[in-house]
Amino acid sequence: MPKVFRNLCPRNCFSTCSILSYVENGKLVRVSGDPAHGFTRGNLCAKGYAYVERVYSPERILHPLRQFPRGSGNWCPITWEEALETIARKILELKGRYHSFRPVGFCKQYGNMGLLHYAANALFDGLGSVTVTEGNSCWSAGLDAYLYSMGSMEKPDPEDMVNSKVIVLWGVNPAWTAVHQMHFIDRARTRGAQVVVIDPVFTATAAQADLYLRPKAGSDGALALGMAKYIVENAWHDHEFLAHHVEGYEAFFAYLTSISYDWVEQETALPVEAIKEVTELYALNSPAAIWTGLGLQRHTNGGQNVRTILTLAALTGNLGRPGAGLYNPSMTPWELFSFYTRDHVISRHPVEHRRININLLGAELKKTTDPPVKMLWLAQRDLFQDAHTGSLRGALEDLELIVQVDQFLNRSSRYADIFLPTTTQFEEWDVLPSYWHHWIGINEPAISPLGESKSDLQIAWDLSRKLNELSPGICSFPTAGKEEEWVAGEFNQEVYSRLEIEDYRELLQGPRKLKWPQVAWEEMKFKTPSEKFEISSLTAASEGLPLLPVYSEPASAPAAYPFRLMTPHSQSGNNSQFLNLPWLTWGTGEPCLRINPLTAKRLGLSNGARVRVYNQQGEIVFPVKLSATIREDTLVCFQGWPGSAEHELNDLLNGSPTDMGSKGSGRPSIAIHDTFVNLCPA
Amino acid sequence: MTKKYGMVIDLKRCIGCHTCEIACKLENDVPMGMYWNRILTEGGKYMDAPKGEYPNVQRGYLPLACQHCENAPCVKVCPVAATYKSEDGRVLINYERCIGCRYCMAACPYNVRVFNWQEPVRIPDFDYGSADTPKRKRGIVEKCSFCEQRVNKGMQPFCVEVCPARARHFGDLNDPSSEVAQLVRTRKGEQLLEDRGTKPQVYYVR
Repeated sequence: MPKVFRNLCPRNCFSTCSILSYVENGKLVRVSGDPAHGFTRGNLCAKGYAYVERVYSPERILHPLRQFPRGSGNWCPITWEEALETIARKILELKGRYHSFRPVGFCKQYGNMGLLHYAANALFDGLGSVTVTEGNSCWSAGLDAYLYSMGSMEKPDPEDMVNSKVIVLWGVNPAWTAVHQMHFIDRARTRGAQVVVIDPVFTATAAQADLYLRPKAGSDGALALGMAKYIVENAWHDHEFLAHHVEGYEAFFAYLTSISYDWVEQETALPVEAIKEVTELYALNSPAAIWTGLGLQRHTNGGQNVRTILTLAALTGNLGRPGAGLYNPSMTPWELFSFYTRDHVISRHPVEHRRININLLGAELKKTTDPPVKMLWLAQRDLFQDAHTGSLRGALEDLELIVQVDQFLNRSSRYADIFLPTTTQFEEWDVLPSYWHHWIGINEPAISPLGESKSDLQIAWDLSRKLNELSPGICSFPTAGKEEEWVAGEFNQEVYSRLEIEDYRELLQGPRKLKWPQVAWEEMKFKTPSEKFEISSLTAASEGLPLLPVYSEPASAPAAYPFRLMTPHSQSGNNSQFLNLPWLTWGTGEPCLRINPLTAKRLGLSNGARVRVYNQQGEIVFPVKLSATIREDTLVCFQGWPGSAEHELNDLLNGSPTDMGSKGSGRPSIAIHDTFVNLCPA
Repeated sequence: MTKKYGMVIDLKRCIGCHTCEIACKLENDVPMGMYWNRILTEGGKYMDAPKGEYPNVQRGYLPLACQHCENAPCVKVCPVAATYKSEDGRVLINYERCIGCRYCMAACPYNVRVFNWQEPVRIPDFDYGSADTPKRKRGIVEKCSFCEQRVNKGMQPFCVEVCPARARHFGDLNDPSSEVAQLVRTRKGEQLLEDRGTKPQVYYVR
């Protein structure tokens, strides 16, 4: 009989599934969903069921490697001792040369979201001031829109969506990216709810919708303004709610009189009837919920567009009640945890690191001098997901040492010198909350670490030990420990009482739900300066943004590059992860460019024709696939194109910043979906 | 009355997420290059192809595995009775008996049987899935068994359990009160290639 263990999927995903892992003779033979988990309800997704392949993939790196020369693909096994010694000596040599640790760069994002995976952050804190990447390529513009409007990013329990009478899925494709939420959407529909999908791409979620609207990408703010105007004209707004809980609605109403439906039609390319129909559905069927997607805010006007959408909930009083509300990822349940690992050093000795923008890493590395960055530590990162990757290559080549910690070689590995193999969640202790649901599970080791792989925490202890051996006292991060004790350290009385347990080990019997409000803003005490929902935000104005959610023009295609290139998530992957697994990618064919059949006809292209897609930054050659899911002025290539030494998909991204993002994440994000290209037959 | 196991797949609910496809591969120890259960796209042969033209675009999916036909052509052509109809209405294969002649593959109008042309290659390189999933060697035909190792123990086929959209239902078609029988009745269950007279026990509702 197999032994069963509990694990958590640590990927950057809404579901944060609890996994039951079946182990026979020390091998992970099967995974299944965990029926004790109330949100994922015993199910994983296709990627989750492929974990057995991922853990044992022949491509997984199980021994420390060194590549010489860089970019050659000539990776040779080295011992951990050699690897750590090389890295430690480089760190110390840089310190000697520059009298500072700032030449040491550290880059981490969401490769593994587990709380113990912050060990690398703490390791570098232990050295003192280094150079760390700051910002976020994911959600920062939309997050700021929420912060300006409501003061903090709080959202309802996603299980509460079953109480909604109308669900507006605005620029989000849960059928692909949050598959477990579809159950709650289905349940709402069984109870009579109507589902609206607003998306420039006709997605698998759109196919399920009762009403689907396909606006021009980046025009969502205009659509929301048209909706707001129609609400106010018909007096469908909630006077009581506005008078008590909303700041600045009078000025917004005045602004609405200045826009016309003709203008909205022209901006959004939607017929006015559709705009009125969606408004009527939303305004007259209370409670109604809106889920603002992440793609939606990846525009140069993305933050302002989200802010405009949020006002719809304020106008109609769709806040603070079951079934109503505004949905977006939220880190509030995370903040309950102790961050024992992440803050291990800085809780006692605060450190001021030098911060550079993660979204434009190449350019940032090049302009960082005094002292320059000379070494980079990549913690489960694929840098070629960022913008302006053309400049990245040169910047990486200038570095003296690049260390990559991961399970698989990726596109960044061409520039890496040392690869350190890290464990999967099945081989380590960990804990992580979800940014979506309110369930907390625990991750216990189900199998021993494969090969010589080590957990991120173990690697941090080992490198600290090596540094301190060579230069006693140089790094204040611990040099040894017990993983499970660090998991215990992440918990505290607050978490325990909200889980109604006394010890984290109780979670080994099954995940538990945090006692956490099902409805956000029930007290109607917003965390803005006025304690109201701020349609008019003095904070935004003081930070150089419009006072009101007025329309901010979207980026438009220059004459030479008439097509918008969108790069949404692929179905088989999670950002750059999973796409190397044949279980998931078999039959999906060569990565391709999706093109509207009418555009293809105009250009004389048929299915499979190879095209050269180009703009000022670069070019790529692709086969095309005809797909009526997209507009004639749009091209789609799903994330995860494997790239080559010369060309990367993200070479085409110019790195234009989003309008917001600095408030919550330190830096604006990248307007990924405002990429314009032209194409010609290759 | 004897049982007649069958499945109903709700195409209105199916979101084409491929979860059942991968979960099936895991549970049934299906080697590389083979799937017992595939998600076809109505709009064309490549994955996720839509059909129609805007604004009348649709995305239709067709999860396809063994149809467990009542009048199964594969059973009729098998020269060694390796493929058989079990008493409870499933089309199963006695893998020890199969001689790999592939007559059944030619006879099956649904293209849901796969053949082990070579020593099965697995990643990982050991048998995964449930321990009691029947083992298959090189040179034989294999296919969906409604997860015999699970159904024999009173569980549901794995694809039914894992479907996040609750699009799959499994049960006894002979029991008029079963969920599957009711769905076939009330939602007018359709069978694939009905004109072939194979009488599939997998029904699709729209």
